[in-house]
Amino acid sequence: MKPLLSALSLTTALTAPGLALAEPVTFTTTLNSYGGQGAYLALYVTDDSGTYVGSLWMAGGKSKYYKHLSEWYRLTGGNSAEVNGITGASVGSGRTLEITLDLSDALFDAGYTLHVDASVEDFRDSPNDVTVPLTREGAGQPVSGRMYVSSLTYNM
Amino acid sequence: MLKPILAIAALATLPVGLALADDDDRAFRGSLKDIAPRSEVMSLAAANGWSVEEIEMDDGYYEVEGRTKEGREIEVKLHPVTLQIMAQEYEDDDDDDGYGMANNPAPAGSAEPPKNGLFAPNAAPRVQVK
Repeated sequence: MKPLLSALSLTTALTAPGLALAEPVTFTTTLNSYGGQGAYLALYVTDDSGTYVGSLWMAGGKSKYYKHLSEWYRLTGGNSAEVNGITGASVGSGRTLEITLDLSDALFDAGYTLHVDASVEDFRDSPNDVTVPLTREGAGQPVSGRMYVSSLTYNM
Repeated sequence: MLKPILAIAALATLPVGLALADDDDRAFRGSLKDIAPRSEVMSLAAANGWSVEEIEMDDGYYEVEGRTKEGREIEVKLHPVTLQIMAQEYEDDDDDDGYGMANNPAPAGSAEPPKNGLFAPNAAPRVQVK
């Protein structure tokens, strides 16, 4: 029985970073003044092979628009359950979204990448507006976005 | 609490054939005798943690309106025979039908992140828009 339990705990430890210690991480996302409606933003994480690991936040409550967050939608199949409990309203032009989440320590310096997909009504969609490797060294350093995101910083 | 029950009870007494008589091409054209009973719809809702506010038939499909256990308004379209989820929408963001503006940055209801291995257990997100 013991070998089975050991194997089980090893497997679980490798697949679930949430079992490690957690610490609060604040993501600050500032949008450009693009002048349109509130932007939908999907913040999510992939591993070093590009495989979707999970979502951290969804700004925008109407799931019918999630298809415009095209990379997130492709990776999740548009499954709204991925963002249950981590969904708020869309973010207005020029505004700053600040989210503090208690995240697993194991997410940092382990090959994970944070992605932000952005979409604005009647404007072009912007998958991977931001991509940034999650490292302790990268904490506090602003990263520029491609279209709607002016900058993203994470602090821990 | 009584209102949803009354609404369901009232709907349950209507002949389903009325809803199926729609000429819409999207309407369900199956046999009435195969349609799953409302009690099974309620069981499905309970299994998903939805509190049901209304169940109705639209184009021959079940439409369930209610709230998730996190308090989000939800509308779910179900296949009338298999009760497979055909579509699911959250309706709790802004008042208009567009993307809307930022006026409610926090999740509706008591938020608990999904168990995807990224979050500490039972740690609610803190969020603000400046």
